[in-house]
Amino acid sequence: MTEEFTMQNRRKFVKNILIGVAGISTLSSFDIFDLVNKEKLVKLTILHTNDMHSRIDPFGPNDKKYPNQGGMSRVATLIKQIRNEESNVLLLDAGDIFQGTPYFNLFGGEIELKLMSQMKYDAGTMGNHDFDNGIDGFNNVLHNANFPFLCANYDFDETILKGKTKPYHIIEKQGIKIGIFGIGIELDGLVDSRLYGNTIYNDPIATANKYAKLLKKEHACNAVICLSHLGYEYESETLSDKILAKRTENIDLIIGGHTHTFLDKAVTFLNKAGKPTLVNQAGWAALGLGRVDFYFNQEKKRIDDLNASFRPSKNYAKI
Amino acid sequence: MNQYFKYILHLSLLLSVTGCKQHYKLTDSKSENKQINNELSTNDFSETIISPYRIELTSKMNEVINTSLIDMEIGAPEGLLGNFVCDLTYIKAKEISDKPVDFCLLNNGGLRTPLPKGEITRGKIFELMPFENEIVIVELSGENMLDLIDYIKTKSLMTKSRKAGVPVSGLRMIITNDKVSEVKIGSFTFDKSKNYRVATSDYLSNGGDHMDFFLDPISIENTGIKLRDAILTHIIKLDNKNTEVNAVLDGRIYHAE
Repeated sequence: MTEEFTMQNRRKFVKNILIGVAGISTLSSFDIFDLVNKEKLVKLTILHTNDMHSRIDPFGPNDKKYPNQGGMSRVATLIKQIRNEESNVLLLDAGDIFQGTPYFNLFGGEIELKLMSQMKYDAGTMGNHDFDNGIDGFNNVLHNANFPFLCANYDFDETILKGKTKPYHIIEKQGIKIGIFGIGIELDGLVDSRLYGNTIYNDPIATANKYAKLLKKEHACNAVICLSHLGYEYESETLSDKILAKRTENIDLIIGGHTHTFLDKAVTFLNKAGKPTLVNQAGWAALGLGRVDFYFNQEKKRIDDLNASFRPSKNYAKI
Repeated sequence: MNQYFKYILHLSLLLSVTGCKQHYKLTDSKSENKQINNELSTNDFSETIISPYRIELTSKMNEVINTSLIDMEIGAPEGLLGNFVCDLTYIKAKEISDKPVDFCLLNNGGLRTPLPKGEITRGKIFELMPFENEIVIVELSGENMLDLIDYIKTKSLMTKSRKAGVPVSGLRMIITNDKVSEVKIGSFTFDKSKNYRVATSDYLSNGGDHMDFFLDPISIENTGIKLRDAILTHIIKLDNKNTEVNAVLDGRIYHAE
């Protein structure tokens, strides 16, 4: 009985292989073919937060705008659910983790970083409010984070944070290399100069172009993500993620913050090279979790698209 | 049979995997952001981390730091709450600065909740002043002071709006028939030819609440003291002296008919 069953399976298997070799890919009932097919298409799920502002617990029941909404503990639940469904998850934060509830006033950000470490964040960047207890205050609680802070345009060399942040970070998931770097907002005028001390601010666009190119060309990353705390858009000409997207190249996704912008979906812009760059932001106060799924196909031969290098979601948010 | 089988398997894998180089290209994307609402339960691991902090926070926030003898609310042309916070801010600014401070000006919009009669908890003061605003001392020219005076007058004449009234300390003003008839800074009549040093919050000194008269100052002195900390320290200090919290309306901004 067992023998017969096995033989039948084998016959079917060989048949499948023969058809498969002949180039017909519709027969994929066999595990091994599924595996191969999977190898040809890799899905990467990028989850992200911004401006969580120490919202450990949800807003209170009497809050006028967000009663019983938000909260980092609930974010952890959603992330866990998605991790159970998806095999390649990246979890990122675009800054302003600190400030907004007494948890920060009393504990200086310790609990926020502990929670993010437990949720397995892959990387974060610094927002202006992350300087609120000074760079000393940030440095004091930094050991609670088991993920890197990426700050490409803040030069901390003359401060206590020297060597404690990185400009960029590369993560590999199922053979896919993802390059991530962080861009911060101008601190002068926004943050008391005593709080940021000798931090040197470098031009966001030049820095972004430099690191995006390095990651895409020299490190051969399959995708490049910028964590930005510049803000989504302004009425004035102030530098924003929209402008950053249009004036740079080699960036596939900008994960933003600062303006507390709620987007339904990532929005697509054409970059300097005419290729699409997605920009996303997920509100604030742990009221939203941004999600972008990237699909990577195995290239048979390299063709440099003159137009789009990938097809962004068609039904993106209108704003 | 087995040999043959393995051979075919290897061949097919070779063809499909190494037939071309393993170069992946980003070809598609999909995006849908999620809401964090009360349909999501809390996470047990997170709760384990949060719990001891929450207990400490709750006990700190519930700590009674003094008692208020009266209900304090914002108001126009003056209010008990505004007077109370401005008076203590003015005292703090004078304490901190090496130079004289002439008066204090804040805004009612920044005082986020009334302070009821009875026990005052630390948490209540966080509700009253949730922002991290700091006390600054701004030196204004007499010209800019005229705009400041006009601003106080306009807001004092508003009645129903929450934005009505400007809390001050060390400044007295009489408004007669909708016109400013007298302004005293300390015990002296306002002098347009002089500069004045005003204690306020960094939010307002940056032009918050349309206080544009602050945007062209002669100088700004940062104190590094948070307004909330000044309020907390003052209330605790009173308690240490067995003094309860109190405030009075003293006609500092006065509508004369």
